Amino acid sequence: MAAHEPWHTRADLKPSYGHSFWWFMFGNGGGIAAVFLPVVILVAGVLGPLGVMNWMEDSRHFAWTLGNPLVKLFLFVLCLLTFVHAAHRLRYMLFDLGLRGSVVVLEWACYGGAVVGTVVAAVLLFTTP
Amino acid sequence: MSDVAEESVHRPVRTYRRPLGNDWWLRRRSYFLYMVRESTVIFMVAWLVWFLYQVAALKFGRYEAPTTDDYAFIAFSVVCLFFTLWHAVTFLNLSGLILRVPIGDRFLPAVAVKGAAFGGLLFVTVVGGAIMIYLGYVKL
Repeated sequence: MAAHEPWHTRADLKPSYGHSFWWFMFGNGGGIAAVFLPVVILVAGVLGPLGVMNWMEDSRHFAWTLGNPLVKLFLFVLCLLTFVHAAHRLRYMLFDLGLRGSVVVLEWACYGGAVVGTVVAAVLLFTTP
Repeated sequence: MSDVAEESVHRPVRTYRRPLGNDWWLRRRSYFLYMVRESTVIFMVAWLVWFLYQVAALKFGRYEAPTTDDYAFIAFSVVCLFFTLWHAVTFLNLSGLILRVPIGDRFLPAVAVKGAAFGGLLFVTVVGGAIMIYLGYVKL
């Protein structure tokens, strides 16, 4: 191998599909969460309790809105991508904070947590109301 | 190649690796802000966990909407909103650098990509917020 051979022509380098998958999910999750999550928290978490009527006003409105398949799908995708994005960031943040003992355990804990959270979100969203 | 030269080529280079303490991120303001940015996801996930708890409460017939008296929950949501917006601003600020949109043999200027990203955030906030508030007024 030549010392300065371009990376994309080197035969000894192979694509890491696992790494690229998590980076793909991380990037998209960050974008989706950045655009869609603030307004959900603003309306349901701040304005609602302060007296502004909204989709979580009472159980009837909440259930009626959640009954729409598109709403379920939107909330599921929001949870899925946010959880995966968070797992990827937490994995590197905890490593930076000194948890460098076992990267494998760290990855299983973070990505496993994202998978568990996503499954819980799917079960709750698609079986409610 | 002489034996000495060959040995110097194949011998692994010994480099000094400065040990990195666990408090490195407190040494500079930029390091600290980097870690704050990374930790924003904790608040985003925390709020979504609360939301899923509310969905579970609805599923089992115990849902009660938070009221004006729930100071702790309002404070929790305000903090989560603050860090979610912090994530949004820092993440979308990078969009012009990361997203390369080809136009012929050129790329869309980074400032236009960033403008579109923040425009999307503004649009979704205004339109999405209006829809979510409107749904509260639907007569059932």
